[in-house]
Amino acid sequence: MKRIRMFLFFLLAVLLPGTVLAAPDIRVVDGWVRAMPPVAKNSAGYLVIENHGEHDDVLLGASVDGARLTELHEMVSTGATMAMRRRQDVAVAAGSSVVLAPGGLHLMLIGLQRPLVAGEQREAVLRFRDAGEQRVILDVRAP
Amino acid sequence: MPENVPPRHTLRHVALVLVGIVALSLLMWAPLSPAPGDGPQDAPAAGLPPPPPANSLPVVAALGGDFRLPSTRGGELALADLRGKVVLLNFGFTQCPDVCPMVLTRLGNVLRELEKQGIDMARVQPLFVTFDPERDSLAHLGEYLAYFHPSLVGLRGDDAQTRDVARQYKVVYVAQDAGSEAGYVFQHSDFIYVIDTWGRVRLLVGGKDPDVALVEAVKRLLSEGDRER
Repeated sequence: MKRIRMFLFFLLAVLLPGTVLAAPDIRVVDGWVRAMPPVAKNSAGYLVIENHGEHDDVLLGASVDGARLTELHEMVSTGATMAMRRRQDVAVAAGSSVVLAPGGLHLMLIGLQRPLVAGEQREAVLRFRDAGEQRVILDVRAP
Repeated sequence: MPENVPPRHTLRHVALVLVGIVALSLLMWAPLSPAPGDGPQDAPAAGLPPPPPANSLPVVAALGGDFRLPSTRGGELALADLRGKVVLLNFGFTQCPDVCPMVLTRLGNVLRELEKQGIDMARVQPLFVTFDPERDSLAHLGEYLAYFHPSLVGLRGDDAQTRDVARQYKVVYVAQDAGSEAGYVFQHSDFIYVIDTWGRVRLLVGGKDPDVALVEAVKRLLSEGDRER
């Protein structure tokens, strides 16, 4: 009995800080989305994901208010051309940060439901494997 | 052109990529020296264009030439109609989320900068050719482009016309399935072609070149044009 209690206590001691601290380990900063002509169907969002924790995490997906759906995409330069690829996820290693920026990784906003007007803001949710859902505000601005 | 393999969009342009890649690598190795007899096919009948001053931007003889395409301003527009103007030519598609709007934004910034410097904007013409005629109607293109700068004129040919002008300018564009819900996207080159008052390509500006390169090129070519008038 005592052993089991000891074990449970030990388990709690190990797991609790982990779960409590997991969320703030991931910080999303400098988020913005490109203002586009009202007739545009798609746009792109950019941000920096910082992982201050000791465990790797993975960005699994995102949704941005006012876009029918949002995918993770990456521009790859082949020298003479730029190619776009869809990414299923984006790893954010412990103690590092990942930059989503023009000409590279980005959130692809598909099917804009209302115009992205410079100066406004959009709410977005990023889904991480471990950190779960993170709400962020994206500034709408001209590139 | 192989017709027997399925992904239609991709194959339609595979040949173009190959041509494009070869052409671009040629450009990189043997650029900028005007090869005699290999100039743009559109030398005006009324006298040959003067050679550029020795210290100026050389003619990019390996590509370019006249074209005539349906325009967002109604009717058709030919490059030859724009003699006496410096033309900034770019290719793209309006569903492009990242690269094309960046290029168009910088084009808008460059035009505003030229305006601020007192350049006669009636002598500068920005053009945008879509290589996605299937999804970009002229009306849509016109509304889209006006957002970036009111003087931008959009051009949209049919598939064959688009292929021809892309070949002339060695533009690489390949429709590809990126696995996206957005449908097909294009792998493409993103140069801005700076064309002088005689319709000759004088500079290719890529994504990494600064805006000032464009501003200075336009001013230089306009002043050359002044001397020839």
